[in-house]
Amino acid sequence: MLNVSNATKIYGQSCGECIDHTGPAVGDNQCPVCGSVVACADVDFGLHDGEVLGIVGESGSGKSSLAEILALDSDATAGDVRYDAYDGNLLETDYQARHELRNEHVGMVHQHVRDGLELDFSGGGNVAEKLLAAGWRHYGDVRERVEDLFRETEVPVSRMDDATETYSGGMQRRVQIAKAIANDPGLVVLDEPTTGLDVSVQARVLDMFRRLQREQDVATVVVSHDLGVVRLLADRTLVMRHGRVIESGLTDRIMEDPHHEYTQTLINSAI
Amino acid sequence: MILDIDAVSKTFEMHIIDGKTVPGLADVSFSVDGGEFVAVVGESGSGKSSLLKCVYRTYEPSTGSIRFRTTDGEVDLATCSDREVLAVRGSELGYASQFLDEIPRVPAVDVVARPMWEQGTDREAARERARELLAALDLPAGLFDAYPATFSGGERQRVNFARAIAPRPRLLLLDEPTSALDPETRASALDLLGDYLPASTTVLGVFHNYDVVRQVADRVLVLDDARLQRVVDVADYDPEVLA
Ligand SMILES: Nc1ncnc2c1ncn2[C@@H]1O[C@H](COP(=O)(O)OP(=O)(O)O)[C@@H](O)[C@H]1O
Ligand SMILES: [Mg+2]
Ligand SMILES: [Zn+2]
Repeated sequence: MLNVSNATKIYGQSCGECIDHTGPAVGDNQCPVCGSVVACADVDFGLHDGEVLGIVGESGSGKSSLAEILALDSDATAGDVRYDAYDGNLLETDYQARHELRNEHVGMVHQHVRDGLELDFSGGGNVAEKLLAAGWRHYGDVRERVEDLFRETEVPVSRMDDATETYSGGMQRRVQIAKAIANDPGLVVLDEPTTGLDVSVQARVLDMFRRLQREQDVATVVVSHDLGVVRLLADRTLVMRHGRVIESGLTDRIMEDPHHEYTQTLINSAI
Repeated sequence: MILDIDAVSKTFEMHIIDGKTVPGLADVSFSVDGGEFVAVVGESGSGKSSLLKCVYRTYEPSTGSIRFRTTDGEVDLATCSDREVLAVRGSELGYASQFLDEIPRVPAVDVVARPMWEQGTDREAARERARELLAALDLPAGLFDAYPATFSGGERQRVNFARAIAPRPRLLLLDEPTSALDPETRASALDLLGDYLPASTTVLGVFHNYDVVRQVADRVLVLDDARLQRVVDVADYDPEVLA
């Protein structure tokens, strides 16, 4: 349902040879010639309905840049992304198509709550906005759908009309998830879904998401520097470093039989 | 024959210890018939868990083939795609690892029920079956809705065991499933294997206890220093014989 080839994101005016001058072999993601940053390059993977792909790597390795490209939140520098809901390269859509895809077919849960929610709006209002953007009109239907989504993501319906900034961190994350799945997208992208949450809350959010994900059979990309998060959610995992994928495989294989030197270091330092 | 393991080796390359290589399994070959129960024995470090993990593909074999005859045809678990492995795990291949590894805040019943509902069983029906299995393993009913993270080693092991057998996989891998159980609970667990799983279930299980091996196994596979030392009928298995 999703097929990504050669996804690349370069920040800055590229000299044209940035990719050759960066990456794990060089040990940096910044081009020594022109100073551009190759946030991610040459990323390839496929995702079927209902599959969960994890992306791990240290901070700065390019995970969020890749997630934002997939969620159509930022423009890629190069690459080809094919997605069931769209006929053509997702990275070359016009404004209208992009708008529609983001509203109806791809849900994103941002690392920073502020990027995903209007904190001075009510929690219900934040979710309703997504429904309205997809063409929902009838007030009663919208309200009913938002109530259902709150129940599914385990946010107290009684808090629906309170300002989102009065919610706990865990509740805010759930509202972001409710918003991301509101229009039954085929793909959900989660960027660091547990940052800023207490350990006990993290576990409940992850478990809730995993249940929803399986019930709705939604393809998911979960990005995290935390191996534990990926271990609990993802079937397969990509390991990124200096903007490149250095190893990929079944998540349990990556964790218990890491092949690449860097992956071995990452796993060892997490234990 | 349901499983045919041919010349499987697994070598770990430890890049962070100066590229040192560590052998996990060396040139292991054997095959297993459908419905057989094969006990894997050997000293600590001899490669027992590595063997199970290679079959489950948690370890990627360095060489060799692991041909598993599924209901849809044959797959080589040593070399097939990750997706094929996931599909087989989701339908026919079960594994109880030595240690339970789960999302921290999930009640015991749901830990056991999850693989069943992920394979399509109705949620409540799966929970009901989970409760029956946990009860058959003498887990106190008061613990069914508690989090396994708070359990004793023996209690956790029962949850892990119930979870692995619950979906009735055709090929079941068990890594010391009863090591932390008292004799009575161990007997319940072994009874459950016979009562709950169809006779056609094939089991490859690591065991330490000779009495258990004698009770459950058809054949015994002895590993020594990453190598297959011998495979014998359980009647001919004498733990004192080393070569
Ligand atoms: N807006 C930006 N402008 C310039 N460089 C950026 C920008 N966003 C990210 N980068 C750089 O791209 C690289 C990858 O960053 P990011 O995708 O955020 O990694 P991660 O999510 O893995 O921490 C880093 O070197 C980062 O500093
Ligand atoms: Mg990030
Ligand atoms: Zn450059």
